[in-house]
Amino acid sequence: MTSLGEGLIDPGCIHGPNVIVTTETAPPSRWTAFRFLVGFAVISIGGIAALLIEPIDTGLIQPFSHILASASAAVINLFGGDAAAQGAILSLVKAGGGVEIANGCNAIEASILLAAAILAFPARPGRRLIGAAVGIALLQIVNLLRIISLLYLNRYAPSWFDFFHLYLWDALIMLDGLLIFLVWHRWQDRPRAVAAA
Amino acid sequence: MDRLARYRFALFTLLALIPLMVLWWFAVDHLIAALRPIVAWVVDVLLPVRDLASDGKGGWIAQTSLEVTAGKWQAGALEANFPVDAYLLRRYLVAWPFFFALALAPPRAPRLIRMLVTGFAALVGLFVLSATALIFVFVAVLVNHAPNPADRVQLVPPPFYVGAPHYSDTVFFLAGLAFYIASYVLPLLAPVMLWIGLNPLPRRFLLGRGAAPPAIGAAAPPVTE
Repeated sequence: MTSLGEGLIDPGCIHGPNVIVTTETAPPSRWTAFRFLVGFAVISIGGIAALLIEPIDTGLIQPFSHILASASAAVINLFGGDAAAQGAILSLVKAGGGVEIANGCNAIEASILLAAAILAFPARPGRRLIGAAVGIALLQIVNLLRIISLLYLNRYAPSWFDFFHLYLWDALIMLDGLLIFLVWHRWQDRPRAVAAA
Repeated sequence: MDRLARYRFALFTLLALIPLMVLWWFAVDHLIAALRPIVAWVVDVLLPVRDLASDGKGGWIAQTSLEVTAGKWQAGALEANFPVDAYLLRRYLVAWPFFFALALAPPRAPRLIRMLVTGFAALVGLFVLSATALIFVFVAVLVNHAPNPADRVQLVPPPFYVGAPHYSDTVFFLAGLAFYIASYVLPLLAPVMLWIGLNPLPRRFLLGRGAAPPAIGAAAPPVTE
């Protein structure tokens, strides 16, 4: 574990000459790793199982997909496009063509996995909550880009749609989640004064 | 893992994904065909599915031993079959390029070849499990003649009935959950878990606590005010 981030500490705050800042870490204890894995498995499987319960699907997940469609349309229109959202369907008004944001396309699963990884991690509770909230928000911003790109792919390069929709974007969303986790991991490990700065 | 190492890792993984995904796209249907006999053997042992035949489009046709008792079905056919679409089977293999991109990105495992071989074996096992979960949920929908909550659009009963005892509500829900995890979670999660599990460097970085003791003669650890 990095004890101090390089270039993040004012050298005047560090006592003693020839300070060694090391990135070498001690191996994790088996108990720490086990606790993290169990916590991660319980939160993620519980979260995924909850998605299959009908009131949660109709009361939370589907309205969230509608919000994603509206937000995507707003972003497209902000940049001079001409999009409209109706329920979970996002469409290009003049050019024609549209996509429906179905379950599995709203990055809820990746958000649950990211939140589970952060919440199960042995860190301070406040930093876990901040990490989960900010991480999910960042993941959803990337997912907005995914939805918008798929809308245009569907209209202008439909032969590539399935490849990007079903395979490539999934890998990119997960890579994005992994990178968010790594950045949060570094942030949560800083001393309080540095983290607040 | 310092900032530079992290950037190097992210950039390498992202760039490696491009050729790996292209390679995967051209190889995926051959991989599915090569793995079909293993899945066919597993489902023959665990489920009322006699064989998996190729549909000629990358997917399979599951040939069950469930007798059709009522409803519209193919003339002359007594046992129910159902298609297994290629796109779902391809999803179960999408973890492969992602895992290899992560495994090849620095910091690499000290025994890289062993890690790649172990990861490959684990991914084959994962595909077999995922495909079995997929076929199980189709069988459950067929037997119970009810839509499964995991996908109320695709997992709907056909216009015929089969003669077999129904699965309990719990087993029916678990079949849907297994399908959902196999389709939407494992393809994303498996590469990361394998990378962390098989490469001690990220594992140590992520779960190690506290800095290593300084070398003999080195200064004391830094202190902040």
